[in-house]
Amino acid sequence: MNLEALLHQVEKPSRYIGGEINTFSKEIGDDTIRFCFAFPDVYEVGMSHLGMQIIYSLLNQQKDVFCERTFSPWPDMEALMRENHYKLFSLETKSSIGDMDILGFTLQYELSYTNILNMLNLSGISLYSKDRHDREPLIIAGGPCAYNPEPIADFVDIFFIGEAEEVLLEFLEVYRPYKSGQISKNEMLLKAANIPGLYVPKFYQPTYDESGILLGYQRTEAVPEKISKRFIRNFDEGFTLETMIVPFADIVHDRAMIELFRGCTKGCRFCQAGMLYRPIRERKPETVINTIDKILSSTGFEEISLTSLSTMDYSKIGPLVTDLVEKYEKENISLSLPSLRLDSFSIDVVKEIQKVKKTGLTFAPEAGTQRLRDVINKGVTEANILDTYKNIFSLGWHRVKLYFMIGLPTETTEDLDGISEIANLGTFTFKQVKPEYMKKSVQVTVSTSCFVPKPFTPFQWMAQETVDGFYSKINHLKTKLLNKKVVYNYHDPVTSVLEGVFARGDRRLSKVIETAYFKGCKFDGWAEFFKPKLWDEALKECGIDPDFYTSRERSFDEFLPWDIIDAGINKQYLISEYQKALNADSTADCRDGCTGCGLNVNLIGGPC
Amino acid sequence: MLTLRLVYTKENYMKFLSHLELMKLFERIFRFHQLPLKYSEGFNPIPKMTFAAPLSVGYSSLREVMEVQLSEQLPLERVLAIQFPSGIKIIDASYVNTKKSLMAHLSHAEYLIKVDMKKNIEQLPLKEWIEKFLNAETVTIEKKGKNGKMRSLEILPLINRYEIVYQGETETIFRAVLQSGSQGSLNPEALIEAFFGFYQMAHEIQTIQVERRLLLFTDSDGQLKDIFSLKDDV
Repeated sequence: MNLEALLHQVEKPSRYIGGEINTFSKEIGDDTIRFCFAFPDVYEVGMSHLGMQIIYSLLNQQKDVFCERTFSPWPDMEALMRENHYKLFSLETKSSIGDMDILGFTLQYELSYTNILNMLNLSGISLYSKDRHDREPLIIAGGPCAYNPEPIADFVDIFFIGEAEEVLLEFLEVYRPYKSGQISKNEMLLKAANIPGLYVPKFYQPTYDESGILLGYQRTEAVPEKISKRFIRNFDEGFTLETMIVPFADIVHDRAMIELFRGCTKGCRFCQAGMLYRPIRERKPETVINTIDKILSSTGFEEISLTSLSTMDYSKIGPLVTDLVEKYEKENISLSLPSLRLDSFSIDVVKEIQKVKKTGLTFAPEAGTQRLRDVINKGVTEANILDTYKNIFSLGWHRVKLYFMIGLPTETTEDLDGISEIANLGTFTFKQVKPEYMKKSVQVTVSTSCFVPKPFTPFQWMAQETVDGFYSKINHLKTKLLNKKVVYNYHDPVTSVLEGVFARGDRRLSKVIETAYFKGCKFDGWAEFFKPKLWDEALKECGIDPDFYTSRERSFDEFLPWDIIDAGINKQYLISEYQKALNADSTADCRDGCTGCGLNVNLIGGPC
Repeated sequence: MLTLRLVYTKENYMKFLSHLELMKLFERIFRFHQLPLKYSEGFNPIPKMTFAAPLSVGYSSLREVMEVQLSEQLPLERVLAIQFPSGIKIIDASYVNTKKSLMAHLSHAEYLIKVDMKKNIEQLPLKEWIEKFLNAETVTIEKKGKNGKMRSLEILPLINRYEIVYQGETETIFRAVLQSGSQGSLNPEALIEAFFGFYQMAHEIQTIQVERRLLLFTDSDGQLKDIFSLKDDV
């Protein structure tokens, strides 16, 4: 059966057709490096990812590279493909993925690992690096989860640590002689391993003590002891995405995206991104405005998203928003600002953005009491929260979403009760300040997620809350959040604990992922497909105790699986932040003075 | 008010775009080609566009039509030069001055229907089967009504023409002119299922591919004519 015949039988066939505005089509010659960007989730999720758009545009600007895309087929499509022996294909040329030179996976989420194996299997590619012959594609991977690459280290040939824009091009320099047959695969990998930022796991063999604790890595070739992360030093003048693929299907984030800055100076202790993407690097407002103009004039998007880890902290946010609204209001192009923070919430900015379209408002106090917010260094005060309520409700909003985490270090019942108090403060304040014309009633949505301690954060040594512990906290919240105007949603603890296994796991987990995959696990991040029983079986069969990775507290001198990666931050800094956390002692924003994380000395060699 | 009418094709992979996806695509292409679009009033302004007789996902078409409101006139050469993803091509553009939408006149559509069967049917007397089928006393199908309940639909009065144009080993191509529009429609796949069902062979159908070739209206003499011959004089 041909592809069209399959597409007639599936839900949302536009996921698989390619040909969207601004996609590429290139002549494929003998020296064309065929690269396929692989997103281990469904099209709508993958196409919302800015990193994919950047890599696609960057690689297709290279003369001898043709970058195509592939995504996880939805289970209905996968079933038909398997039934008809149809291999996974690229959207651009519908080529079988096995015909590519390089397959590049992005690692956004630990629970997408089984989808990576499924995509390899659907392409007929051997899962383990050691089993792949020269004709099979080279498997590379990058993205935030690559900072602890170990759980999937047996499957991936090369990990890209940090921002890939520069190092991808450096890597192509060592790939070309391999492609033309001048050097062997092993020689190419060895050259790659000596490019800063590239980790080739086969040259690093882990050793463990008799209790199963990692002792370190033995290098089998002349490769660096540690792999330091890469980042774009001059972000304003570095590669800038000036056009985007415009998807057909209704994707999750269907809009123009422009990065205002990378990095974050707030120093929230739970936040891995805040630690990984240091130092802060802003784009100039002129660069932002020019780039938006270019993106809009080649895509026709009707919404612009100003992205970053904390958009309201952009140093010129007020003037930028005013300029953009003035410029695009007439064309009915609206502005959205993700990651609003309660402490820097500027009412003028919100007044501006609502001129075109009144979008929903979401805030993340993260914890219910001042004490616990100090523990995690989330610089939001009770006064900030009250002011924000007063401002938004008096301007005519009547719905607000609040995000919290449960299972944070030192959390007590009082902290949980604080969540309900913050929600009630919202419904109470609404009645006090709502405008006369407001006839609708207030709705406060409280969402809790289960905290997963992540590598390179001050909480990387702590024990994660157990599934039972999470459930008793959720049940407690259910008894507290009884206000009829408050809606309570919570994230499933079982998936968060499994995420916790992989977040801080080691290379022994590769076998577990393979076992779970062959038992039928895939799309683990999707509640309707998650099969915790099969994961339990896989862990047992592999003799792996998940508690070893989750609820075990590590000592500061234990060698951690990700200690082979140098993220630029000193361990001593993380230890001192952890100790300050336990004393509910906060650390100031590092824009107001260096807090000594070590990045400037380790990776920059000067001030940030 | 200025109405721009576009006639376009929807073929190859583009036939898999849903109606909503197609509308979004046109909107975005119009935006980045800077067409002077007119917007609806209200909280979420959207461009004023209408698409005639939405095509089912997976059907290709040689002549689709849509209308968009503009605030000022743009040279038609510029409109005709707009590039769409491969599979969609603008074949005609005109400014029209109609009070009533063109599609309000639609009464029928002509289709080519390619049917692939699981077994060889080369020897079947399909021509006679069609004649017998069309002369049957009654043929009904189950159709989901507006209220979501299943109801029985008599389909023979909805068939204006039904004939065979090619008969191969497993592949057969039919041409059909079926009622389509506000007064009730018959879906070509439903016709094929009813036809083979009439001979207890519905389970032998492997795939059905449909191409819409013409949109038709009924003139004052009761003749079916290409809807685009109506032009501005309606």
